Amino acid sequence: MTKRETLRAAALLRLLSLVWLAAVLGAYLWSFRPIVKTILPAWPL
Amino acid sequence: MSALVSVAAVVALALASIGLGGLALRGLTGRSLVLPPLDRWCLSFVAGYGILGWLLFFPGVAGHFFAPVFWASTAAGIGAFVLNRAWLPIEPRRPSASVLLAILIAVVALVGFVDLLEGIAPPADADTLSYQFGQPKDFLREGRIFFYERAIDGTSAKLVQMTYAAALAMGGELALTLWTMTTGWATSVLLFAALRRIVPELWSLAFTAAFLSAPAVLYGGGNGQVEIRCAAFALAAAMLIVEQRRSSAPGPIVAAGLFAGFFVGTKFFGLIFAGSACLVVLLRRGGLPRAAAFGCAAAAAGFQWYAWNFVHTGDPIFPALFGALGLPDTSYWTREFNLYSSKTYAAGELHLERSFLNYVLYPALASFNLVEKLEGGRTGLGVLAFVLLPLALAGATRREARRDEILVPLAIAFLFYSLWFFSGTTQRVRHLLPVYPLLLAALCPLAVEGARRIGATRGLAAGVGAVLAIQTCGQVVFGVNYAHYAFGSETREQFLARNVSGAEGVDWINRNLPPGATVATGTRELAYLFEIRSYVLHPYTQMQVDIRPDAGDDRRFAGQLRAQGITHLYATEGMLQRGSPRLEATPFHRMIDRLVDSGCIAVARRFESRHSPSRTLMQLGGGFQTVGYVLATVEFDRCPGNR
Repeated sequence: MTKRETLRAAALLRLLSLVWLAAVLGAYLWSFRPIVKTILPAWPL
Repeated sequence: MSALVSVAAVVALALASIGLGGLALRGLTGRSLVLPPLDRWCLSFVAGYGILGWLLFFPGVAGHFFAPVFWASTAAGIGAFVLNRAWLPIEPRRPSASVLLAILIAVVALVGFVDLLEGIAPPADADTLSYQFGQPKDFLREGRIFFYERAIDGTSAKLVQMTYAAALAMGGELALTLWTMTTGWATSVLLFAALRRIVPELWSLAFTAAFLSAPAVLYGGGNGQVEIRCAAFALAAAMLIVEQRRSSAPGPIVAAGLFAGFFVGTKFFGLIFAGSACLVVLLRRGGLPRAAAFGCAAAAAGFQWYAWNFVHTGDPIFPALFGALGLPDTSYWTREFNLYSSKTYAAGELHLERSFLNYVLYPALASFNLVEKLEGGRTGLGVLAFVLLPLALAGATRREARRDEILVPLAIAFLFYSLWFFSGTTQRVRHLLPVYPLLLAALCPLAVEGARRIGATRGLAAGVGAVLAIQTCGQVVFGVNYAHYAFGSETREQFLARNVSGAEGVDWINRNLPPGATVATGTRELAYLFEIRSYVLHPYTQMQVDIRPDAGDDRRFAGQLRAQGITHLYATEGMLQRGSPRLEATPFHRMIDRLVDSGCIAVARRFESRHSPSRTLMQLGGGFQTVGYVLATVEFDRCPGNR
């Protein structure tokens, strides 16, 4: 691989990692929905 | 007992553990391994409370389960500490100061503060009250270890619980809760020691903080649950299996086997761990003799409670093998009841079919609380492993990643998970906590390496930071309940009444019933709170007093109460009170109604109590129900069979 290709692959991996991170944290926070509803019954979600 | 005595007891137990463990480790590894100071202190402490738990079994079964025996054993351990002090140097390194370090220390301090609040509050967790603390207290009351004729929790392995008994006898309840807090923290410090061997110190601290604040650690670290303590044994065993490559002497592998054995002696799942670890040892260079040494050491350290069960029942892991071994019916267990018990247990504990698909999906189903009965929300492992996964995969492609420090814990954790999942035992995710540090010990260095490789170090830091932020919020919410007690004017009884359903009545019973009375209760978590003899009525772990829904023979039931010496019954109105609203009128309930009508069961007093699915959320406005409890006397002269 050329240096340019290597940099592009690393950038793509970084982007994928960030998407993964956002998805994991989002799903984890979403899993607390029943608990939040218990404390705040008016919570809209 | 004064708080000073309680603290002194915990300090004495800790020093004794470090002394006993240090002496054993020095003897086994001193000439062949050079361990960093922090590793020595942590490994010594963990080995020491394993050794202490192992040693105390013997005076217990011999009928000498008293405070003087515990103080004497502790004094011997402190003597070992003094003798061995030179092997335990103080850490010479000081980390360089930085803002990140200060933030991480603040997070760890916050977690520690909440744990301390829990440590000074009375115990309130159901399993803890039911048997983790309840049974050691019963042993102390009797002055000996006796055989519980009750399946599952009654016949579980109890090596670590022996140290609970010591703490309770030496320093009272405060010593007991502080001791569990201390032993819970040891696992995290050991994880830090393991990680910093191959990961920069700041990262090691961040990962350790994430482990320390994970829901399962938060839930079980400060109470009597043993998974967090088993995690220390598992991690120590894995560390020493890695270390054995530096030595041709058998000491390190024997020490690893002892740690695995302490896990075996504390929980039946330790057998799965010891098997997994032994297989990993076997597959490495010089495998067979080392695996034999590992296995022998594990058997020596872990055999006690299995032998105890075998002597009393013929089944070392009673009642798991009762049917397979074709054991005869006894007064406390029959083939018919065994079938009922295993079916009811499976209905309550096995929520996923044991298929390959579920095996692959289980981590996600549990971590994101997609199947609530796996309890991944309140007592799960958190999502750190998921956050680390892509970067760990990126790091795993490098050749240097395939080192023992990563492969050994990963292989053991993988084998343990696989065997555990397909074994048909409980699927609650917290039972995986013992191998979670092993998974982190493998994933964390790989993720750091992967992040460095693709230039995503800041992304990794953001991910770990987000996990820490979420978990720390959970820690604060969890701590509110205990802050109420620590900073308010609440008494122990008021705290228990707020947190344990039915505790008000137990307080009255302790103050008013004669010492010779025996109270049977259908609420298992009350067992620890009784100061008089109690008997737990459980539908499928005991059959001496049959309370299955189909049990409806008045004469037989009254005879069973008499045989157990039960003078009083304490249970919810739904179980005992005539005409109270019930979900369904089973033959058992109809029988109770008849016994109440005949005066055999005479309601003496009523209590109102609170019940909530979450103690933590109850403090924050979460709902609770008011539950009525009834204390009834058993009037045997009016019972069927006596008239």
